[in-house]
Amino acid sequence: MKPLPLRFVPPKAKSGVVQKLSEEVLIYDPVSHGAHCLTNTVAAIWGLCDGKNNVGDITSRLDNDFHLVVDAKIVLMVLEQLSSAGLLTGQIEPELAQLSRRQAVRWIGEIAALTLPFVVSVIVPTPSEAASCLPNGAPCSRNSDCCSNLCILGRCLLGARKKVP
Amino acid sequence: MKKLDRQVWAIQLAFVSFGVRIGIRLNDPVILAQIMPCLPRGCKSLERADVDRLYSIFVAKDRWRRNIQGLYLLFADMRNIARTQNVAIMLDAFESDVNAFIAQHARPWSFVHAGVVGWKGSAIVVPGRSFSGKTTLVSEFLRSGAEYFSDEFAAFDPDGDVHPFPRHLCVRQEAAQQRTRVTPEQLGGRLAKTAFPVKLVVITEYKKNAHWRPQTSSPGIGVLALLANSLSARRAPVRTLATFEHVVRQSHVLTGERGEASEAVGSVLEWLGERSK
Repeated sequence: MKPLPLRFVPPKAKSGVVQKLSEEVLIYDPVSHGAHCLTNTVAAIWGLCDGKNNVGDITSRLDNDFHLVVDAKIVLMVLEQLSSAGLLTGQIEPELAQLSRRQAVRWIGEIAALTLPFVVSVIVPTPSEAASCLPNGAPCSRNSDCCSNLCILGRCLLGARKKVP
Repeated sequence: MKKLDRQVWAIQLAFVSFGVRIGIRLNDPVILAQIMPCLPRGCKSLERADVDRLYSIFVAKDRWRRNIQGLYLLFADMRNIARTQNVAIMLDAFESDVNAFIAQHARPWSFVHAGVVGWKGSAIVVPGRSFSGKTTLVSEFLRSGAEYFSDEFAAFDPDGDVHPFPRHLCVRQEAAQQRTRVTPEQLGGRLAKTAFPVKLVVITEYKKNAHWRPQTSSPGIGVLALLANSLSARRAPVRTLATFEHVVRQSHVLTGERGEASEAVGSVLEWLGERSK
């Protein structure tokens, strides 16, 4: 099996509000308005992304500083997900990111693949997106603004929409 | 001077709700009786003239053609938000905008688009967008004897307790053309009077023919669900995240699609009963 390359890991994105929960860490990015939920292990890996540590350094520091024995292959998968979520300032180099699921399962092992730590993300809506839909007669900019799902000439009009029993 | 300010206003009033000051002025006093039920419950009248938002309701009547209905114009500050011949539509737009404005500007509260009910001293919060079936679930909880907090917004204080933000439940008709207003008492529930700590966050959405098979999720997923429906997170992310952390600290999070509301509500109440033993 091909050994994993110990490539450069870009530093973590600096802007963000971090809130710790008991076993998770939440990160809100005020630029992209993305909110991310990381397990403590993933958060520890993210915290070690300073632009100097490579994958090998991160793995050994997890062991030394946090007493977490995490395989380098799992660290790579985590870094890929952190990069996709925009939590790193750069992209993971293509060789590392282009692991197909088949390769990943082969490399990591079936059981490990099922229990991979992961990053869950949502986009925080604007207040108007979060608020309820607009009533008939209210000004609108698109169909989805209106309870009737009909925005015509900038006004919500009567119409049908899916039924919720 | 703006054109609106030059109009003659018959009535001007102001109130405060969740610390947000709202002013209303009307050129036709007849509308006042219809406006009052649309104001947030528990709001207090205000003497001061400076408000955070001023609503102007202008009824334009054609003196020469009395058989033609009046035109109702609703302005939020200087922005026209409704122009209709139907007073019910204007009132609907007014109530929606007032509630949304309070939800966005209340300090230090954190508002989430969610249905909320109380059950045996704890709150059940169902965050979700429009048409996810919140009101249907809330109605079903009320039929089971729950206390009514809101079918629209969960108002969290900085300690994570949820406060009542009651209004009439807006039950949508089959084709969603009209919304019928129902009081919680009509459904067998009663209004909550005080704040409750949150015991359960239910992340669900209606799906035809689905069965309620919930899974327990982590507190972090619960916070993400609250953030995805939050009205204050973009404006005050630090405060909002801290509040939501308090919310989920003592609560459970259930996730799953639901079919009929009665099945989900029965299961949730049973689940809560088992945990309170």
